[in-house]
Amino acid sequence: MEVTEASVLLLPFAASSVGAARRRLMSDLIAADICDSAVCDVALVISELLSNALRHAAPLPGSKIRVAWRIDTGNVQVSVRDGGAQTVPELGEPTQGATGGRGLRIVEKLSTRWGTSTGDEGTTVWAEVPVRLPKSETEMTTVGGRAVATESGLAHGRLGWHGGAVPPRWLLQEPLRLRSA
Amino acid sequence: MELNVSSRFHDDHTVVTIRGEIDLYTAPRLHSELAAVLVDGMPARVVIDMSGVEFCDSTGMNVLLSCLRRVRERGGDLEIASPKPAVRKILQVTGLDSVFTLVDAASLDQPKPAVPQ
Repeated sequence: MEVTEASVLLLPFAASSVGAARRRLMSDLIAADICDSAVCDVALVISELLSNALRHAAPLPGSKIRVAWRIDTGNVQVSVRDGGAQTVPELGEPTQGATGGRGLRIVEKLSTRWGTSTGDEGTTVWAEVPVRLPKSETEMTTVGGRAVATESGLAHGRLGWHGGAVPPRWLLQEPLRLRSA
Repeated sequence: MELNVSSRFHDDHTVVTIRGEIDLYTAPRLHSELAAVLVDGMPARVVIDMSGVEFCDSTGMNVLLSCLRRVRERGGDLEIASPKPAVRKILQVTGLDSVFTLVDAASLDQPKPAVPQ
């Protein structure tokens, strides 16, 4: 699998953008020969990140939300940027029958690592989901999700991240290619 | 097709068939469609046929859970029939596969076999 350019979508800050982003991402994953179960996992992760942002955060200027993904060797990196919220994204502790509180738990379980970053441009929540090609001879080792402590009061422009020594480089870079919704 | 909900009513159970995708955008409609089905006097057993659901996230699960709660308050049960792999995955990841009763769609229109006395 070759590393692809980061794809970026600026979508309306509206519930309909969840499906719009998911369908675009899934179509990219299928085109990259990602196996079905991994496509399902990534689709779920992007939906949870977007739903969380749309429910709890403010929009970016122009009433937008920014979605980006990058298909890399062995994993797919997805991120959602919004205009920030009163609270930082945190893991819920839902009881068995509770309605709500599961979104980021799902992200945690399906990703090898995930995190948040806050800066002048807004708040970004990102996750890396392990994937493999259907015909890949090398089995991916799925690393269990890792608990993430939330951070607040980050200095402007400084990244907070979890689960790795360094934040993913793609997060720090400007998009290589902008796509309209 | 984003979401399509239809129902059929039997003497002892109701089958609600959902087709399409359940997420933040479609969940409110699913919620109101299910509320319209779960009226007083309907059979206690409700079967949700999910064999045509291509995608469901935690927003959709929350709708099904609130539906489950309403049905159980009346002493009934809510069953999920024939979920596709994508739906099975979220049921498994959230542990909700042990909360909902999962059944095969082939049994949907059959009355539940009588328990031998």
